[in-house]
Amino acid sequence: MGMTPDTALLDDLIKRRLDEILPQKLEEKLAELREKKTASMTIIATKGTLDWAYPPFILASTAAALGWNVSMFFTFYGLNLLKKDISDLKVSPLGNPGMPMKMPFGPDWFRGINWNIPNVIEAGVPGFESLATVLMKQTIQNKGVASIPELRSACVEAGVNLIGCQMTVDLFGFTHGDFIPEVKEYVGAATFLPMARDADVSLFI
Amino acid sequence: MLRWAHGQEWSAHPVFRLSNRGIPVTTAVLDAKGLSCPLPILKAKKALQGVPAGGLLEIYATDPGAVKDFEAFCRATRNELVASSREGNVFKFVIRRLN
Repeated sequence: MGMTPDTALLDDLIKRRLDEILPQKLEEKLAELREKKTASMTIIATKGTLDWAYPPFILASTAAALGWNVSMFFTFYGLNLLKKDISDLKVSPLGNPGMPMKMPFGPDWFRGINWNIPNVIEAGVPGFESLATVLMKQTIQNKGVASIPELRSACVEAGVNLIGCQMTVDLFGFTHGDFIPEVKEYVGAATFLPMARDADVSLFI
Repeated sequence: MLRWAHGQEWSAHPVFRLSNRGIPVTTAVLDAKGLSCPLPILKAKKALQGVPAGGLLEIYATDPGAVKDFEAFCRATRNELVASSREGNVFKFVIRRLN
């Protein structure tokens, strides 16, 4: 290509030298940029029960405490978590074999028993879910675990960006007035995805 | 409950202690005993906002996970974990606010 032997030699030298220097330089530069950049996280919250309200709110409030930018997108049953009153969230042991069934009161030997209650009883006894919820709330209180309203307030206070799914609002016949005024916007997947793309951490819960 | 070191309410006058360099240091105290993850961290973050730069925050907690969590918290928020110790089942952390 009209290259003299000298330029070919020079090109080769430059290429080899660059291969030597570049990886280390790049790594240093990336580490420096990472150090400077404010971390960010986006969470999709899809569940509306007491137990499943914990992971998104714990992670969001903690990330905000670490100084991260956090956005939460609430869709389907997750939209429940944005309602004005969330003190009535429930937990269901039905079809949930992973849930320990222990009593939050009584002597230690009694508290230690894991009550193995058949699904047919959990499904057939009216109010079983409410009973399980009361017991779960008592356990949460006994162990010094934050309540969901408390964790949500921490998120709101820390400036976590709360976003509702407009499609779900329409689907379930809600109005924006059903939710706390701190919800910044009601949007769709097309708004959320670019945010998730730019985030360092993106979770579906 | 957030209190200044001498037991007054948070809004009361801060207590001045001598640091090892003989400079008076404002110390706020946070009692996070009996609280589980992530409450000690959330309350510490809030308490730190009321501490002047260079001031100290003393935290008492019983959550064993708090030991690693406060190390990570200080690294991420670029504050200094001055001390981390344990007495019985109470963990004590001292954080110096750097920013």
